[in-house]
Amino acid sequence: MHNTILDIKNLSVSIDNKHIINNLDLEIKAGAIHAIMGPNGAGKSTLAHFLTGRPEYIREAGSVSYLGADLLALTPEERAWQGIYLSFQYPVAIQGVSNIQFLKTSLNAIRKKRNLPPLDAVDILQQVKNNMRNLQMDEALLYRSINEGFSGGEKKRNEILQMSLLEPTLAILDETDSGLDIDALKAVADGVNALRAPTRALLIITHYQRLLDYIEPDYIHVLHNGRIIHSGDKSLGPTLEQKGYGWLTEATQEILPS
Amino acid sequence: MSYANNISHFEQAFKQKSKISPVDNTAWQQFKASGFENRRNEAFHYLDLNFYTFEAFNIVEHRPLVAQDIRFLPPLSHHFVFHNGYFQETIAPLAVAKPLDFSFQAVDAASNFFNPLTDTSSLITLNQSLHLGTASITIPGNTTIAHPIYIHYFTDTQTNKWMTFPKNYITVEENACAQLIECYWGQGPNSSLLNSMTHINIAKNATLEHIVYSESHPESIHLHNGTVFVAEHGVYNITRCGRNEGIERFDYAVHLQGEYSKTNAQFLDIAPHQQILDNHFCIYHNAAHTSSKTLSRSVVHRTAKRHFTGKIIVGNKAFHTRAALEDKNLLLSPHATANTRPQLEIFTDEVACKHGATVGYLDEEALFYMRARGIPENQARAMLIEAFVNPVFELLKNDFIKSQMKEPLSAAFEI
Repeated sequence: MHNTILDIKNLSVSIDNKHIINNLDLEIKAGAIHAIMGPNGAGKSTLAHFLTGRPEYIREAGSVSYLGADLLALTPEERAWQGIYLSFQYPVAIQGVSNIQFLKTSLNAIRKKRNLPPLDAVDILQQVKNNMRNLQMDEALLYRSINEGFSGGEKKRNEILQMSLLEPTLAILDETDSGLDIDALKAVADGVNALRAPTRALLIITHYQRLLDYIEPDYIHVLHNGRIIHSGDKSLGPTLEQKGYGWLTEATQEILPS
Repeated sequence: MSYANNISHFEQAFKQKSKISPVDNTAWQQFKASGFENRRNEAFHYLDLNFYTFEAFNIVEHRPLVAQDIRFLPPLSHHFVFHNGYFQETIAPLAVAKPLDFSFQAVDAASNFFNPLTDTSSLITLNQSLHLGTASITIPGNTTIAHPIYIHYFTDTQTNKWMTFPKNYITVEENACAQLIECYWGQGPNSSLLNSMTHINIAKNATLEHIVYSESHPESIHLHNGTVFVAEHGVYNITRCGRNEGIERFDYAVHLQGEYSKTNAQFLDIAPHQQILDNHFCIYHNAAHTSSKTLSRSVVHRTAKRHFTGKIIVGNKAFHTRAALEDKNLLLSPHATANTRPQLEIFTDEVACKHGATVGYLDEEALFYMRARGIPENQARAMLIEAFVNPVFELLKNDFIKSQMKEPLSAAFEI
């Protein structure tokens, strides 16, 4: 078993020739929960999508090692097969593809690559329904097109439902708490906590401490201008909630070359 | 000049016909005088037949069809087979029940539907001039035909490039109900020219489910024309789909003549290679409380071109008409072309009509989402294409035709 799941070294990423991530370093060990916070435009979502393999995001420098191998050599689907999962901030709606059909295709594609036999429709349905109950989801959503007409909360629960089925090694949650009411937030957090395991790691991207009240992180990092400017333990969250980011970003401006 | 050569070539074929009725002669004189419409005519803007030469296509020879050629046809159906334009009587035992609970006649000529004053389109006059036989079907009143009725037109090009001019007359009498499937099969290594004409009359309270399916060779030219009249409370549903590799023009006009008559139309155009598909569909709402719904999807790849003109005309007596038309086109290549023209002409008040069209590429966001869930890119693309065509595909009420369409929907795109 790899002790280090993700190792980002000196990473710089651009989109359309615009540098978003600058010299970022981050190591995530098995069993750990890392949270990334930071002001709007800091590069949090870019990092999440880059790690998932979004084609238009370009690596300018640095490396990303996942379970000891080069992550950046893999396509998005290969990364999913290897256990990387992104819970999207804005899950896309796909008209005409039912949720259950999508779950079945996705689950069996990943099982195939992990040399596991495909699950038949009955087994999948049973497993999905169990997980839906835990997430307090309406089973009718299974037969609707993916995310089409779903409320904000339903979309986010659906993301966690997929995560619970695919059982990733590294789960990246991109602002999963946005748009959720208190009950939904708790249901989603319970779903995430159920997946905690010594062999897994979580990278949670959020603006607010309230999600971290339910999913307790081991580390909190502050991202600003595409780099981590401060790291701390879980006590950093309430401090940021109280003081904002100004005290960190202003200090960084002073030490950063102009 | 291809124009003069084409006219001369068709004239030669016309003179070879063993029977020429006065109506055929009138039609021929009309065609000879006008020739094909050019691109300045809106209906021929995207496919000007004057740019094509038809001299390579010959009038057909009569050769019986062998039984194994049709063994793939589905059971529990009525099948009427024409081979290179000639009715194949030996195939008749394929019909599921005898005596038939409807009438079928293959006649040399039937001219009663041709009206020289209104049927002025070059393709209709050319069809009337050169057609060899006619399939005439009458569904008697108060009868529901339990099994689908197929009319098959096989064009076998083993020995030559043939041209055929099929003609169908369909009458559905009062309170009758039937499903009719017109199939045009292009077989053999050579191309063919096909110019078909279908007249349909649907009487009061009658229903016809109609499917037009065609397959053709890459250099073939298939031209399908149709006119449909629907009386009060009559229902006409049409689905058109196929696996055409060459040029295909489809031009149907539906006249909703009686109050509360309605039509539903579905079009599925699959163009994975270099096809040119030119689709025209016009609905005339000529009576009050009529309704229509048109749903169209196309998937266009590589250098293929697909054109769609969908027109809804609401006449001045057609108050309380409801009409909806939707055409969506999916381009899979930057070299593929889709032109869409949804049109509404309304000459009365108190109607509810809507129309819309889209042309676009596969949604890259959706593709990334699916790949991020472990679905391989090719499979994700196939799922998105399937999802795109499904609203039409699911309305296709014939398993045999559905099975024929599956291959071009998956393998033909080679994505």
